[in-house]
Amino acid sequence: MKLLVRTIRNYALVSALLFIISTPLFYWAIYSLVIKQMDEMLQEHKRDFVNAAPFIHTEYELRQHEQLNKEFNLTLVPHGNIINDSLYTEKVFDSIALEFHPYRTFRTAVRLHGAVYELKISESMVSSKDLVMAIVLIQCILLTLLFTTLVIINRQLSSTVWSPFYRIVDQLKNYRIDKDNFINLPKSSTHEFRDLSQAIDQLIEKNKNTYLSQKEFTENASHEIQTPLAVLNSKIDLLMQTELTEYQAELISSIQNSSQRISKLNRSLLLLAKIDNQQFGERENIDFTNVVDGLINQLKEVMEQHNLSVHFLQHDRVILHANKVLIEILVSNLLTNALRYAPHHSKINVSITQEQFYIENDGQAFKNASSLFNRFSKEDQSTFGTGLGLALVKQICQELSYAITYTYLDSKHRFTILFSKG
Amino acid sequence: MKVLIVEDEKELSNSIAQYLRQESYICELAYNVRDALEKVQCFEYDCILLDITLPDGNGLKILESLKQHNKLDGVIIISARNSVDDRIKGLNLGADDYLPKPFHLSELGARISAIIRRKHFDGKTKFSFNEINIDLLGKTVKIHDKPFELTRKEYDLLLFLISNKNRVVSKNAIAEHLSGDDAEIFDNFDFIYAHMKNLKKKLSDADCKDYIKTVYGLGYKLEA
Repeated sequence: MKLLVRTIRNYALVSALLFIISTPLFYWAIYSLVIKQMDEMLQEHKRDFVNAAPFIHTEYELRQHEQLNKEFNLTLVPHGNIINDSLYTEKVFDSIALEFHPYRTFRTAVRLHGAVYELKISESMVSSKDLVMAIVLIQCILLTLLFTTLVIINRQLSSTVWSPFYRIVDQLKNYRIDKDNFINLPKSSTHEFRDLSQAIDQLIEKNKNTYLSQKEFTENASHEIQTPLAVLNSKIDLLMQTELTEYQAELISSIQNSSQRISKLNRSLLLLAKIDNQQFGERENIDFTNVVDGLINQLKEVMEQHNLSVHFLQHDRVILHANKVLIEILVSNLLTNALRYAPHHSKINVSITQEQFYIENDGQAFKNASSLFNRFSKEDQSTFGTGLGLALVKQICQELSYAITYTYLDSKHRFTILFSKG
Repeated sequence: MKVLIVEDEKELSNSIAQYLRQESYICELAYNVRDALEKVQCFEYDCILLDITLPDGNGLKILESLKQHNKLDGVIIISARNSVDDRIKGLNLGADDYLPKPFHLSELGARISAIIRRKHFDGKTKFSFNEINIDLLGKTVKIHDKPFELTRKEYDLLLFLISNKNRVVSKNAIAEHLSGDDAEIFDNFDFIYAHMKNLKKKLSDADCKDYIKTVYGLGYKLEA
């Protein structure tokens, strides 16, 4: 969930809750205020009436007074009945509007010329009630407006306030320690983001140094191994020139095989390090199909020996803009792998199209196909390969921005290279 | 034949010298740029083996000096830094060949004799080994002046063995020489045996002396 959504969601939740609670409360508050106001007014009316009472002398004058003040209703109360002052709301049927309207009524007793009258003063609450409703409605609208503007402001503010953050994230997403030399983090006046930028800068600097020294180490180590290996090889070659017993010859032969393996391993490691160190940056247009044909031709002899044949499913002319050395190693490694593991008398399928290139050979499923492209991952420790062939293939694909996939279907291993990674 | 070996790793230059002396090359050693420059200016060599990384500078300096004095003796660069750049730079400066370390002495031997052949038969592209006549340009062979049919691999094999005559050449070196890096596809040397069998049979069919001896467990030796 986005931080912005999260904040807005929390705001919205709290606001809605407040809204739900506050609306009836507000309504109730206004309503009681109005009632209180009305009650005071009704009591005022009564005082007015009491004040006017000395000027009312006859029953006729009384009724006139009643007529004049429509809210008044005077009834003679039989002697002995006691009327307590009371205020209440009642519903009265309005014969014109044909509906009940609420009235606030003050029921009290007044003494007039020795007689006790029941005085009911009623005031319609229709207008007050409408007023209350109007106020509450306005209040609701205002609250909604307030809430929406809050969200909008918050959203806009967040996107401006957080923009350095998003820019940092964008930069980090695209950053590749093996590609980019430096990262250009946005300068922000916000303290937190400045801290973040600084921390990232330091982290990258540190990692970069570690990465570089590690890279250099591999290359240097491989280089340094070359010379003693050369000495070792030369001494073996010299030893071979001497008079040897069969047993000694056997020993020397196996020593030579091992030193040969070390040499190959070292060469592959060096190649990996070099690709890592971008020493194959040159790009040119290469006739890919020609490269594949040429390599297959070179391996013809080996294939004949094992009764293998190459079968082209698709043979388009493909021109790639890439590094020639890398492309040759790539195809050669995939081809030799196929040859090495294909059973005798089988067919190797090759397909070249503008989009992809694949090599397919028969064989048993790998036990751990997931680590296929890892360095030194070998299915069978006894096989002669260095365990770096596919690691090299993967590294080259990375360098050239190709995608490589491995699939196993119908007892066939298939390595596919997609030229446009997309 | 005089060969100058410019290589700071004494053990390696001793090995090379020893291997070459077996075939009556005269070898001189230089361990740094200064000595090498001195020697190069005073003497003529048929071939110079040049390591690029030397304690007192870059071996390419020697190549530049040779070029200045127009004394481009056949130079083979031997380098641990098998980089494309170095190779191109070296070859541009006039080196004849580039051999990355580690290498088989027999491979080095083959390269040296190729260079020396080129130098000494200037213009002429033919040379002979007893009854075997080899045309390097046409890559054809005549035995007893009769055309001798060979496959490309068999020709390479024969030339490799002649270049290292009287010395044991290992199966590994042959495999690498014949097929480059592809040699590692299979962990056996079946294909060498097959080529060798065919070559020997063809040679004996052409009434050629049986020069090629199998050295048990190790490889082969062409005895003059």
